[in-house]
Amino acid sequence: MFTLLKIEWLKLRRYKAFWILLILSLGFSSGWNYFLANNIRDNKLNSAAKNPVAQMLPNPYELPGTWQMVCYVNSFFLLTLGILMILLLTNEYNFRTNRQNIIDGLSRIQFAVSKLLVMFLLAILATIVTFITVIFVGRAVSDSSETLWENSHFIGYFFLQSIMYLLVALLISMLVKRSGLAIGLYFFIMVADTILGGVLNKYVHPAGYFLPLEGTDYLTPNPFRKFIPDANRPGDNAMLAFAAAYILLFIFLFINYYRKADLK
Amino acid sequence: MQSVLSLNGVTKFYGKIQALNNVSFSVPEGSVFGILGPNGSGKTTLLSIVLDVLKANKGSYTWMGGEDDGEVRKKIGSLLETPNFYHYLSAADNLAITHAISGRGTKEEIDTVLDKVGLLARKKSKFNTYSLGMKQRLAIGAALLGSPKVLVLDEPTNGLDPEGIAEIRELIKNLAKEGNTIIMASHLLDEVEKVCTHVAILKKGTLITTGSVDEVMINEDIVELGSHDKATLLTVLKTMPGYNSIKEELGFIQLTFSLGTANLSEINSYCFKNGIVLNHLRVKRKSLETKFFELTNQN
Repeated sequence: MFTLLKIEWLKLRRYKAFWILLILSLGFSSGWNYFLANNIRDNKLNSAAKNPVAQMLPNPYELPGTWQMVCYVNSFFLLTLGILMILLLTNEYNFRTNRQNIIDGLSRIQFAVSKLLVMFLLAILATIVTFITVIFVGRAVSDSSETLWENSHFIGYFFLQSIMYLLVALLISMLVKRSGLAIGLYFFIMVADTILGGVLNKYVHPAGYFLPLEGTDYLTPNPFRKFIPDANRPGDNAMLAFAAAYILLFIFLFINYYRKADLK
Repeated sequence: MQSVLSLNGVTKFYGKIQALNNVSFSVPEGSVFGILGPNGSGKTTLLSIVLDVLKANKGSYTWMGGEDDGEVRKKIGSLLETPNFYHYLSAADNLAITHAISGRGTKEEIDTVLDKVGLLARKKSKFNTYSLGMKQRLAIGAALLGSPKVLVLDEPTNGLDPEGIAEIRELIKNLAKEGNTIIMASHLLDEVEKVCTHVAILKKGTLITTGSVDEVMINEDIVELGSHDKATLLTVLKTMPGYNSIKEELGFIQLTFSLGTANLSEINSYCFKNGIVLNHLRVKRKSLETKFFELTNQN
């Protein structure tokens, strides 16, 4: 496993697009959270007299809400990370190094596993950055940090969501092989999954909660969603189980494809 | 002698199109084995299958008598179809990946190999700044890394200039002299004829013939004769017993005999007795090109 990671590192370390997209999605997300958190607090303070309603709404960044808010905001930045994941796999097709790696002695399963390892590492990295952001922003805008760990389960949900977003990116790249098409399809599926989730919830409630991407989106929902409660929302555990099942299925499909397919 | 590679009934379909039809042959150790065939005859498909890039629909293959588990490919230097490298990395960085995957060579050897293929001065340039010939040289360099005992080269002289072609030819000859096994696909017959010891000829996915170059090429003796008085020579030869056919070609007269029956001394003395002095007499090997067209045009 270490050898596989070393090989992937050799491919990545001088790849500019990798560093740019990584810094864009991780660095920018932390900055954006910090900016939002401060802005909301300042607005609340300034507008207290003029706008009593705004004063009453809680700052979603205040502890222990920080966990949910940062995870919610950062889930949007998973799209850039997904694009990076798409580039990393479609590059192999574009350069035909998917074949060369096998010719040089990787087994087909090793090739698939090395991409999955990169996927896991990116998800872990995104989760660590999110974790640090929560601690930093939460303390900065809250009056007390007594409730710091109260909602920390959201970080686990976010990790699962990151894996789901990146895994879907890998599956799409595996199927269409070309970067432009894969990125287009990725966005399309994101939108289609959301629309389908809404439609399903309207007619066959609560099936919409169990779609792969929508399911994990619901795990880190918009904090203001709690003001429009859904009595039939399935429990977190049911959604977690579905997400885990999807992830295992997708990993199986990914490895199985490389085990058998003709590499073009 | 142990065979390096054995194919057993390998069959491949692309949808309805049959790319390979029940192909079986063995590559002896230490040979320079040429896989010949016109464009689209299945040469690259065949090499792709034995390198595990494509999956055969039927049949099997073994490397050094064993199943292919990836480990065996690490010891084979291969160039398949096109030079496949990371465009944004330099030649040296790309070979570092080849080294990391295959374990062939050392980090120091990367420079040696780049020098061998004439890219040392450009080792820090990115792959996408290379010309077609330079890319091909890098691919050959990658295959040579760590001096593997077995090389698989698919159209190795693709994109090279005449000087480059001659260099590669020399390189292959030297590697063969050192006892390495080289499996080479080509449609350039001239190239194969100059370096190969064994051949397999494919046509539309079917193996037409295989064996040592001598076996495949020579199935009759061709004797070429010349004299100042060609007309008389022709008349005299027509009275001579023992040959199968006679024809004029390129200013000489060609006689064919069943394999191993031509005797130059007897022919010479027969002509001399009949008042003809020969100024040209030799046994000629059929050119691979002629043989190739013969083989691929029948059936």
